[in-house]
Amino acid sequence: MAPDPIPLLPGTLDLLVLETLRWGPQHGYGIAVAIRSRSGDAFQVDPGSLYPALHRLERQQLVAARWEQSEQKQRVRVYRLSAAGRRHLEGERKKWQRMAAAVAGVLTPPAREPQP
Amino acid sequence: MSFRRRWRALEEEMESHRRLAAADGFPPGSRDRSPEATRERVREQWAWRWWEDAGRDVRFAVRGLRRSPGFTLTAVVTLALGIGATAAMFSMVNAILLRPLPYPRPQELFTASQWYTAGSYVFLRDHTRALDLAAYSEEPERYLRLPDGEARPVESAAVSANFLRVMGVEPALGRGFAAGAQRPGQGREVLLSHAFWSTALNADAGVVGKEILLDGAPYAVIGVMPAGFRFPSPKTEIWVPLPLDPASASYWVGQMMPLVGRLRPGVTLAQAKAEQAALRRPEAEAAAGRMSSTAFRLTGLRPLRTAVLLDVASILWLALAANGLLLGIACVNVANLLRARAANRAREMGVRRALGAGRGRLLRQRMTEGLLLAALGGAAGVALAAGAVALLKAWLPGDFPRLAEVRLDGRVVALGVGLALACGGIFGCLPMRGGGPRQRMAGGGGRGGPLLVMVEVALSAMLVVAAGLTARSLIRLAAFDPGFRSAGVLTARVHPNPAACRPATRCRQMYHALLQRVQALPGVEAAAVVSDLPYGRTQIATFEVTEHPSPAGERHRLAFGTIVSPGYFAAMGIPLERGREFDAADMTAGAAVVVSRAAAAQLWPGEEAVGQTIQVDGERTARRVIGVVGDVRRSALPYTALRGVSEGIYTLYAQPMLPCAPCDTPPVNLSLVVRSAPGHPLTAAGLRRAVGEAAPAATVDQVMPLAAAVSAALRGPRTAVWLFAVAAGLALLLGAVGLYGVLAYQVAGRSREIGIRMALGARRATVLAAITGQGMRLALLGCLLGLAAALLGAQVLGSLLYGFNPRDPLTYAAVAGLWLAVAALASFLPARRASRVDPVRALRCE
Repeated sequence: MAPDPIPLLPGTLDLLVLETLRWGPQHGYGIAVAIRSRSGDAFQVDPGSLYPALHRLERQQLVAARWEQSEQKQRVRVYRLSAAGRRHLEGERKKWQRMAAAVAGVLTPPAREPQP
Repeated sequence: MSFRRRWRALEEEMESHRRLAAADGFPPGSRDRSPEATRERVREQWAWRWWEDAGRDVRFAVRGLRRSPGFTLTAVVTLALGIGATAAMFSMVNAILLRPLPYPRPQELFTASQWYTAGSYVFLRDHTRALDLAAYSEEPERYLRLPDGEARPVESAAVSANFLRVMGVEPALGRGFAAGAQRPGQGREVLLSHAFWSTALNADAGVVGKEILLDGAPYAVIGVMPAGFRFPSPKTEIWVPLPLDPASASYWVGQMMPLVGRLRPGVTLAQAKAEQAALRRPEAEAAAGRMSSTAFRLTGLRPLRTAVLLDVASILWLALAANGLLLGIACVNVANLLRARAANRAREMGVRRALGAGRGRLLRQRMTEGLLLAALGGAAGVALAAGAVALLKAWLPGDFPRLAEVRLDGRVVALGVGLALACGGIFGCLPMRGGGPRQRMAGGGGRGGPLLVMVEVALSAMLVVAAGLTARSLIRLAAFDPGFRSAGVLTARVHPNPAACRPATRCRQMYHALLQRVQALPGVEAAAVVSDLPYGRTQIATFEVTEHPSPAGERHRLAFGTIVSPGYFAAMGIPLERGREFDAADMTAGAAVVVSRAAAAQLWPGEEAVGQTIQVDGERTARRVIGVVGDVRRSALPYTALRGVSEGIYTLYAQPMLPCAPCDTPPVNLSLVVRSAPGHPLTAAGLRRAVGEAAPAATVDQVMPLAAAVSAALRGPRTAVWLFAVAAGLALLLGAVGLYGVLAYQVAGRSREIGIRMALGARRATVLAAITGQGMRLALLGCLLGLAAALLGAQVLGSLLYGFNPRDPLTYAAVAGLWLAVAALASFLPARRASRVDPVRALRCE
């Protein structure tokens, strides 16, 4: 049995989607599956959030989308990362890392020295 | 991409998601929600942000408005007035001018600018291929008696047999006129209007086929017209076949009728006009002098709609324009209120911007407040318009064309909403102009104030000039000498029992007895009967002057023909200028005629009219002129549809002139005119009693003072002008209040400056003069702009002014004076208050 899923922090879904797409074009279902497996089943993306997020990213021109034929001969909408999306992802990744480090620093028990 | 397309794309995508998940063997229910729940969630996310922001703005705006109820009420009422007046006027314009006439394919219906005799109509009908031509004629008052009911006067129209086919309508009940209905001796058939059938007959379907008496003659009811059919007049109650009898005396002379034609399929108006231009006058008729040189072809063909709406189109458009200007003034007023409010809240806004609120966010909030105000004003305005439309329908005269079709429909509501939105948008943007946070922190009005003052003054000055001109033309209209004296005169319409008027001598005896009885009443100075009161129906007499005949084949002389009894001129107070009045001896002696001064001057220029003779068309013997009387105005208006006929001829009811409806009998229904001595007013009840005693079989109605009959005739043009004047009057009020508000606010905003100048030793008078002068300069500039625009626009007012000079300098000067006075007061009073404040306090204030 998989561990209990954790709810996504607000704003992180976009980041996870962009990161997933960095590994190659993918359709929505594929993105959901990839996020779930890479997070060790911790993040289970609700399609009701995923698709609006994809459309939002598309409107911001961070991803590009196209209807294609899948291997199972299904009509699917495939998303790929745009150059702007790649830049945005790198910027956001840095922010996230700094924030994660800062949050971790704050939350670390006082017995240990804070990290630089 | 539209929301719908986006939604559909998303649905498809999620469907593919479900298929892929199913193919992977994931149980659909574990983590993935049901499709409906997913959809719901997407919808929430998409709409949420927008609603959240909008909701917050609206809540904020509502709170703001509730905090200042005085401001809110003023703004909403002002807007409601502007939007309501415009929407009400638009509902009139929409129903009366914009909607097609309520007949099938109304664009095919045309009418000529000229009227034709029965003979000309038959000729044109038989020689016109392009149009299916019908004739109609609004008849003199007729008297209808139901089989088992009482008798009453009805408004009737005589129409050609093909009339219903041309108009494209079928009776709602029964059948239309048969083709032979117009032949002599035929056509004792009548169609009833839906309104008459519903009210007088309680919508009894069994009436079709029954017999009624019309002026004493039996007619068969053959049908009932549909409810919406109101032609030729909204008041028409019955339709009868138009008699077309070449042997009748009125076939070639006298009665003139308008024609209406429907273009036949595939024919264009240009082809119809070309066909008319090719028509020639038949030699026989020309030789016999029966068809005048213009009566053998249709001239001035124009759409029926244009002709029907001719009288009201300009007034309605003008009233709509006036109301639109009024709305402009209301908008300026509310914008100014909002500006003052924004200035009062400048500190709050400045603080919020300093705290990081985006400029766009603040603008959006301001917009929301403006839109909310506009929405409230729009809703109140549409409600107001509904009331105003009901009021207008009750108030306008019954023969106002298409009035029954006026209602508040979707188009009107849409206009109201659109206007409200436009106003709201303007309000939102306006106060943002000229003012970053720094200026706002410093207070003051910012730019745009002078512009508002000028727009306000220009708009309202324009409307008030228009109001002044129309009001003065109305006053002049009422004061115009009608040619008779109405004070102390009581009138009534007498309807004798038609049976009592056969033979005609019995009718004459009845009226003679009636007049004898009325003249014997105490205080009565003179009493007489007349075919029609001034401003009522008019009969046109065609005749020849024996000594100066018209060229062969040309139109005969025309004049208003009135049939009177001896004593009529005394009873009406019409002065006798030459010769003598009718007397009792004339009732039995040879044919006599009295002419008006204008007729005498036109028919016998430079000659003595008394003693000359005229030959009325269709009469065997000539009539001798025995007297000349003063001119009487025929219509309440200085112009009439019968322009160029201002002359009157009078004959005795013992020897009525032709043509009259059935030409061998005298007119049956006559109006009674009774002049009482001052201090001995004759009451309506007294008059009814006297008539009841002298002529028990007759009925009397429309008992009213002559003055009331005159003002009833003026009611139509007056109400039309009032439509316009009300808008202009409101403009005066809103404009004056608005101008005062703008200027007073501007001056108040300068109280600190005034304080500083006073503290620096400026003399009070100097400061006051400078401040007041600035306000006056703005007002003067706006006023000049407005007056110039009014001067240009006044030309289109022409039709409302009844001959009054549209450049009347007095009106313009008065309006300019009025606005300058308001401007002076609005700058002076607040400036004086500011200059009285202790300078030290004024300086500390900020």
